Amino acid sequence: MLAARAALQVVGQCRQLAAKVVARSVRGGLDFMRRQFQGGTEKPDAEPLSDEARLDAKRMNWLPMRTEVLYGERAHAAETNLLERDSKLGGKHYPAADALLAKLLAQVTGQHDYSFQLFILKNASRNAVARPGGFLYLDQGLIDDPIQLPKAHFALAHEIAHVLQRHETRELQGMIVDSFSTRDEMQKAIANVRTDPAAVLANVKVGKDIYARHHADQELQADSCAARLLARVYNEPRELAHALDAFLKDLPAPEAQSAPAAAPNSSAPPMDSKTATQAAELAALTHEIVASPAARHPTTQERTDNLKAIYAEINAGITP
Amino acid sequence: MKSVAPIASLLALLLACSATQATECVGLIENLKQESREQSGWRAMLSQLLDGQHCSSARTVLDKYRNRKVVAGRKLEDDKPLDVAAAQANLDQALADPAISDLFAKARAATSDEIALTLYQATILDAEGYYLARDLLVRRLSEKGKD
Repeated sequence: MLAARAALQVVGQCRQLAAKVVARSVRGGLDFMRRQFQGGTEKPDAEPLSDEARLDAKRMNWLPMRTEVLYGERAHAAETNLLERDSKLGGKHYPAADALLAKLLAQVTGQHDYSFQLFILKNASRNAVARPGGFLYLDQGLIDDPIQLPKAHFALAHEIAHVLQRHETRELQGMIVDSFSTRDEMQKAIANVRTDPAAVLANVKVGKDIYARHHADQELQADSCAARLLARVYNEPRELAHALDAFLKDLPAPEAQSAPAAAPNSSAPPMDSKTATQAAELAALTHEIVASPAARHPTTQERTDNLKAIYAEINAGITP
Repeated sequence: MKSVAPIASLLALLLACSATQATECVGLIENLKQESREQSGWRAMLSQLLDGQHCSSARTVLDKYRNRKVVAGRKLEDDKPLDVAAAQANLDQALADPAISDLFAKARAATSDEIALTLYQATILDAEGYYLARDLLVRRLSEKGKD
């Protein structure tokens, strides 16, 4: 499946395995946040936040590690599908899972403050999960069948990358930033929604599209970092190709792309062509906002193309 | 349909239990018994069938039955729908195990409550690692409608 030397662009670049999560970076981010948002929503008549300031706030690394770990701990506490270590099956499967984690972490160089913890989920499927603070989860279906070992390597490397890149934490930061608002912004939105609903919906969709694309790009970055991490683990390129193939083969078949059709409204009076076009566009816009998930994985084709490109880079000795 | 409040409070208590299996099991069993004093039904029967065993698996099954999911986190890929054929094969494999079929037969003899019986069976399947079969039973029960 993986052709050598594919001349494709790696979308999700993995410039370094661990994003800078040092105290100085977090402190600098906090100072920035304080300067930008001093007073916050207690000043309802304050000027609206500029897009640049909002985007900067989302990109900066300001959420303290302690907060991230607490967030991860809270999510972990709600997880009840864990295979217990001291159970019969736990005793059988955790040694292999722990060994896999140790093997991968041995290749993670660069400073980071994470204490990774690995858990097995009682699922026959072959998925994996990462939560902030270093909480990692593998489906038992990846561990209990030796045939799945190559995909297990990729899956765990992918999740480690999510943690080291602080993807979920950055999204949490983004959601917090989005909760900042002023009265001025709200008044404008309410005034516009009746007279120009498309403009309001377009703003919502743009925001959602940015979020969705950002989320998908983070997944591609995690894929790329997983490939680079595995390249350090495996001695032979063939082994890396085998792991990547094992993952790609398990993805759903490439999706057919189709645009949502506007629902016909037989009770409405006939429209001129311009109005009909605008109505169709508005319907399509609304459908996309409502029907498409904001947080989605990249398509199978996107992931395949990205991994082909990163594999070619690795074999060519190209580093970011 | 009975009120969701009792099972919601049960699940809340489950989450508040400590990490040790014994303490969690006590919390699960005690709550099922408490609710059995308040209202009869499958909860009381399930408590009897469990008899202090497989509490971690019971918690997993109850959460699945109530479709309770932890949202936070980044997955490797989107979840795939249940492969019903594979799940049925998994169930057939489990039933071929004399120890499991024996437990199921004893439970069937002890109760005619379909919900309690199915959740108990799903609990046993979870404990023994037959996850596809577990999910199949829970799904069938959910599709029948909850009490």
